[in-house]
Amino acid sequence: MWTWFFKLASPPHFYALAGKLSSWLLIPALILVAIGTWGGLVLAPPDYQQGDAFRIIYVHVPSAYLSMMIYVTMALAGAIGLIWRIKLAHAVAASCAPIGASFTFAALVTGAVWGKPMWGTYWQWDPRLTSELILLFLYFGYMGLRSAFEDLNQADRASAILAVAGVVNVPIIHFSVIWWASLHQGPTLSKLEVPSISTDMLWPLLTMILAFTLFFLGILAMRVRGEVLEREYQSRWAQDVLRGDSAVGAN
Amino acid sequence: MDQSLVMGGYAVYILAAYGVTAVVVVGNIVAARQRFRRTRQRLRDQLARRAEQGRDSPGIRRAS
Repeated sequence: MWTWFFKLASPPHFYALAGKLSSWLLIPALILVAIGTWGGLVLAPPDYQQGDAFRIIYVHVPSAYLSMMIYVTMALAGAIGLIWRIKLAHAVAASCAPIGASFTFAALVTGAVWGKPMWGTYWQWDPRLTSELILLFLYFGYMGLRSAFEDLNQADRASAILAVAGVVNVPIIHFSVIWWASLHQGPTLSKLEVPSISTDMLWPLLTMILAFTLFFLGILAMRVRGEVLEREYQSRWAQDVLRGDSAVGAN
Repeated sequence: MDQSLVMGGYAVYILAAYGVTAVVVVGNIVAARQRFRRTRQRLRDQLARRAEQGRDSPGIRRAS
């Protein structure tokens, strides 16, 4: 039953698989981004309250969703690496951080430029905005901590502890609009009821969320390959890949 | 000007948001590719140096 899992966790197998996955995921992701952008900018009708400014939702929501989803992935991978000492899990965690930081930055900037016409200000020390900014600092802290260690094993362990401890911020970001008085609007899609957005506006948003998720997985696969190679370069298969003698590194 | 082009007066904000996101998306692709290529090249050089010196380096160390 667990054969597939152990095969997946095997660095040479994962390295080869990730090489194929990155292009299989990135091409559909970019096609879906184009469809979602067209749907969001051209086909979706203007919002009755926010007018055309609401179209920022199609880049802001997927970026914000990715910023949290990537952090949870990073913390889970870090925890798996800590508990079961799987090097591949640490490689995944390390690869998540720069991608997560970039999408957290995108969520903050797109939120700020949406805030200016809607709230009259780019920034407010609002619970949602502040907790999202803390998430960006957590990503920076994670990457800073990793680079402070010369030994990869020490860097993996220390950064995994930080990632696991910092995951508490994710539910705070998500529920901040419910727990505290916030300028930020409440959840649109995460409610258990029917989404409070019309279908014309919803499908480009769902398309963009799917596109961003595939994009993240594609970039993650690309980055993990480098991390795996760095961790495994003393092994025979990695040296064969580096010399160009192996079919594993063909992709 | 055509209303669809000025986007109800919000075009600057909308285009800024989409522009920043596009930079992040493209930046992620470029950074990931460059990092992988740099890592592979650095490890190749390291391997070649080791082969020349004919000795093994100790432990798993982050190569700089």
